[in-house]
Formats: sequence, structure tokens, C-alpha cells
Amino acid sequence: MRLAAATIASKSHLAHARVLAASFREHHPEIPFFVLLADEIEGAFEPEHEPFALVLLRQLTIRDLRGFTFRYTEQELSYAAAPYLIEHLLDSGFDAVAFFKQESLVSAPLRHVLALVERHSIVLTPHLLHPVGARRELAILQSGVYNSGFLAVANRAQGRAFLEWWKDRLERHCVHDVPNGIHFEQRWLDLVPAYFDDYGFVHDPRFNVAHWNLLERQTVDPCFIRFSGYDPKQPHRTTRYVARPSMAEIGDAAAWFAEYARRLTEAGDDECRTWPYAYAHFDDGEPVPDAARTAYRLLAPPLDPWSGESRLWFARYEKERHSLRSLAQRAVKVWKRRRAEKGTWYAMRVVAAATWKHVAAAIAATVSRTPGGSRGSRATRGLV
Amino acid sequence: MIAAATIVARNYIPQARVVAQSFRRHHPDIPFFVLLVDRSRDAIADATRIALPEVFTPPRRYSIKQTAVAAKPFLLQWLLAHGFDRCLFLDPDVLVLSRFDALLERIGQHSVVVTPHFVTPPRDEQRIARELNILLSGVFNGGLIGIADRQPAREFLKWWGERVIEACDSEVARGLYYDQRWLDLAPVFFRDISVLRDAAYNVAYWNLPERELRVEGDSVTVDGRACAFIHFSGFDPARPQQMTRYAPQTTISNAMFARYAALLREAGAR
Repeated sequence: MRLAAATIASKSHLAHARVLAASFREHHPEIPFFVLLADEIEGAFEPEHEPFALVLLRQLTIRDLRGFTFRYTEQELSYAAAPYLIEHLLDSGFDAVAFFKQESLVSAPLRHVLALVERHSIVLTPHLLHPVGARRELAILQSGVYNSGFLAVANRAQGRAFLEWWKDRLERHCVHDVPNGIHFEQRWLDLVPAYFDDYGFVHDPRFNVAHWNLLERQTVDPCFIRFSGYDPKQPHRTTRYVARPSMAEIGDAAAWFAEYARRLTEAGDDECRTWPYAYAHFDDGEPVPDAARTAYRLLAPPLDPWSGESRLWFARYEKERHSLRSLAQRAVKVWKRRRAEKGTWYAMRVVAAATWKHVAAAIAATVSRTPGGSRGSRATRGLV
Repeated sequence: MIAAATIVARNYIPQARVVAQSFRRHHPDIPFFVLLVDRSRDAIADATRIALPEVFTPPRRYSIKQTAVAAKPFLLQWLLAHGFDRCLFLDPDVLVLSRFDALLERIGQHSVVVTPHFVTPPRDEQRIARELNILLSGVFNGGLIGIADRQPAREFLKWWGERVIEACDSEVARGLYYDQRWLDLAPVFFRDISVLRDAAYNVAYWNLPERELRVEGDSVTVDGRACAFIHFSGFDPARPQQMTRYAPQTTISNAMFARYAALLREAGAR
């Protein structure tokens, strides 16, 4: 079976990819390791001198790549690209792909884990293998039963069907929105046992040791460690996502973190952190606010997102949104003062202003009709 | 020895009668139990009544609905303790339409059997909204639980019972939906859990777009095979044109809902 291993990183996290790739190759020199750059090289590093084979976003089959890179933040993009990368490697002739998330370290051979993908089309790793109490289990139910820090997919019918489905969901729904059931690319994986028969779990407690299970596993001899949310600049914390466990609570396992920090520094982490993210500016050089990405993702206006027109669209959209919001707040205030008649009038205006989508589409239409957009404002004002 | 059971409060007694009678029609040899979570003198034909204190003491803060839901793992433990080695829990708002042979065989092979809300990814325009709804309420449906008298099943019931005593609310943003979201963790924690991905079981409003339900006289089929049971979750016989109160915009085109409404009225629903 021809196996490929892979991860995804933007330039600022390239040191993480270097450390992971080197650690994997130390134990599995026979398996090629690929890194998808969820970014542009822009002369920052020399791909041929890296301990991995580089894959670029434009090599993948992503529908509307310009939209895809705009819709998502740097972190979201590096998560959302996973099924596309796996598909690309299967298309290039590998029988199976083992995907690892960037912030991790292979510390012993993974033969027993990689062997699972010979038996199953989809291999997942659960956050927890045993009950740990209601409070921590609820936290896992919010973020997903399976951890997307590792998964393996074989080039078989169910593996391909899984990728098609996951790609479709991640086209627009790879964000952090727990109250609506989304935790980046990860929560979606909870549905795998409902849709597919041919999946397997990694049951080895030495595999996928991380802050969510360290209290139970700090004494194991790990083969795969995840440093999810760990920042060497905050050495007393194991992760920036939650307060516990702290570094002081995990005993000898703190040494793994120190070793990982050392490797990151050696791999040039300080320099990598200074490399700018390529998908951060409109074509005219203005920075892209995260809110613009969200608005574009949800509303899909018929514009090239990187263009000056798009920036104008977003500025108008924000203005309309704020005036709608203040109108709604005024209505609530009036309502509370029991001036029911006037309150009803305000409420009706808010309803008449229709949904955000309506507003956004109207603005987009006027902006695209009038380059520069100077005459668009009067047309849209009527909506509010 | 196999047993089947459901749980109702007084207001769901017509449903209990319908599920018990429809089950017994296809499995006359299997006893059907009804756990009553409040007082009632009503008789339920074809079913043996169990009083709540025999099974468990609910936390005082629990509503009737929470009590009925949280009683599930304890009812299954009670059945195991009474010598049944294969037990089947069914929600009361279920209509059994054919024999459960595939399911009972599966319970014989595994410790626990659950059915997912969806067995294939939805492909319609609403697919993402529908899937997110399921991710918030739980991948597996709590309306059917199969249990065999084996160690992993006993461990599962003990854990599930502890969890529903601790938290059995509808707080989806916190990862809770009554007893149901806990089930998402079960296949990982307790090895011998089987996911029954069979479109003939647990046909309900949430998966109807993916399943072709055909009614011709007494024959009810799903995708051309005999339908095992329909789960009329959220269906109110007083509003027979609305498929479920959980999604009021869905209206009914299927004759089964009218038939179920008639059965409930015969069984005493107002």
C-alpha cells in the first residue's frame, strides 16, 4: 500500500510543519510527507530545502479558490483545506493518506495506526477513550467526539464518498460557531458513524495525547502528541484554549512541551512568525477585516471579493448593518417605555428593511452597477 | 428472553397503546412494558405497566418530560435485572409496521444497538441546516435503543444513567439535548455498540426526504422494502396536517400521518 503523510500550514506556522515533518520522517523515512501551504510563498523560504514536499493551494481542486481564500481566516483556511489536500494526494496515486495537524509531534513509530487504514476506508481518533466525568465530556460534545488532529483516508469508495461530503460542508461551514453545531472542520466528523460502515478508531492511549486527555495520559509513553493551542511564549500554559490542565498539573509530561518548544525554535519559529499572511489585503492594499470574510461567506455577493468594489460593498454593508442595529435598539427602547404605537412603527421599519441578505444583495447590485459606487447610496438608503 | 418497553406520562397513554398494540401484532411472543412516570388508572392493552418508583427516583428538579427521558437507562437496567437478555426501548410515538428481525438479530450480536437520525448524507438544498440541527440534537436517535445482557451494555447503561441524572436538559449550545447527545460518545467509550444503518427503521420527519415511503393498503415500504417502524416525533393528532411541532413549516403529504392520527383517536387521544 502506497501511503502519504501530510499537513497544512500558513507561512507563520511553517516551523510547526517542519518539526512535524522531520519527526514523522525520523520514524517513517519510507513514507513521503507533504505540506500544503495555505498561503503564498512570496520568497519567504526555498521549498527545495525543506524536509517535506510542498503542495500549493492552486494544485488542489477547489471551486472558486479566490472566494475560498477570502471567506476564511488564516486559521479557518488551514483547517478547511484538509479534504482537498487528501483528495489531491489520492488523485496523484497514493492508496491512502494520513493527515496530521500542524501543531503535533510524532515520537515513536506509528505502524499500528497506519495499518488501520489498510482495513478501514476512514480512520478517526477520538478525543477521549473512556468516560472522564460530565463536565469534560460536555466540552468534548461541543467541539466534536473525534479530533481532527489526525485522520486517515483510503482510496476506496467510502473514503472517496466521505471526502466528497466533507468538502461540501467545508466549502462554507468551517468556522467556530458552537451554539449552531459547528466547530471548524471537526464537528462534522461526528456524523461519520451514521453515514459510513467502513471506519475505524485509534484506540491506543499513546496516540493523540493532548490537553484534553493529558490528566489521564501524562504517564504514557506517547507515539503522537498534539500541542493544540500551545504557545512557547506562554510556557506555564499547555494551551491557550482552556485554563486547565496547566503545565504544573501534568508532571513529567511538561518535558514534552519543553522539547517541542526547543524544536520549534531550532526550526526557525521566530522568523516564520514574522512572515506575513498572503490573503490579508484587498487588491488595493487595504487590510481585510474578519467581519468582511464572514459577511462574504454568509451572503455571497456577486463580486470578486478581493476587488476595491468588494471593499466598498463591505463598508456599505457594515454601515447599513449598524444603522439597522441601532434602529432595532431604538425600537426596543421605545417598546420598553411602553409607547406601543411608536414601538410598533419602529419594529415594522426593521422588518421592512428585510434580512441582511436582502440589504447586502441590494448594495452589491448598486456597487457593481456603478464602479466607484458614488450613486449607489441613495438607492440603498430606501431599504432602511 | 426478549422484552420491549416504552415510557409515558399520562398525556401519552394513547401513544403507548398504539405502540404496544402495533408491536404485539408483529411480535406476539415478546412482552411489552410501559413505564408510567405519573399516576393513572388507565389500562393499556397488550402491555404490562410498571410504576416509576420500581425503576428509579428522578431528581426533584426534573420536569415530567425530563423524568420520562432520564428513566430510559434505568428501565433498561430494570429489564436486564428481571432476566431479559435482549431488551428494546421504543419511544411511545412510534408505529410498528413489520417484524424487527434484523434489529433483534443485531441485538443478539452486539451489546448495544442504536439508529442514526440520518443513514446517508442529505443532498437537498437544506442539507447543511438539517445536518446542523442533528449535530445539535445528537447523531443517534434516542427513540430506539437495543440492549443485550453483556458487560459493555451494563457499563453503558450505568454511565448513561449517571449522565442523565446529572444533566438532562435541552441546552444545545452547551452540548446537551436531554439524554440524546450523550449517545454520541457511546460508540467510543463502549466498544461493542452497533450502529444500525437500515432505512427501514426509525423513519421520521427528519429523514423523510431521503427515504421513499410508500403506502399501498396495508403494505408500507421504504425504498421498496418493508418499513419496520415510523417515528412520529413531535406529531400532534390535534393538528394532523402538521408533520411535527419541531418544524412547523413541514406539512404532510403522506397518508401514514392521517392513519396514525386515526389510531391515536381510537386509542383515546382527544
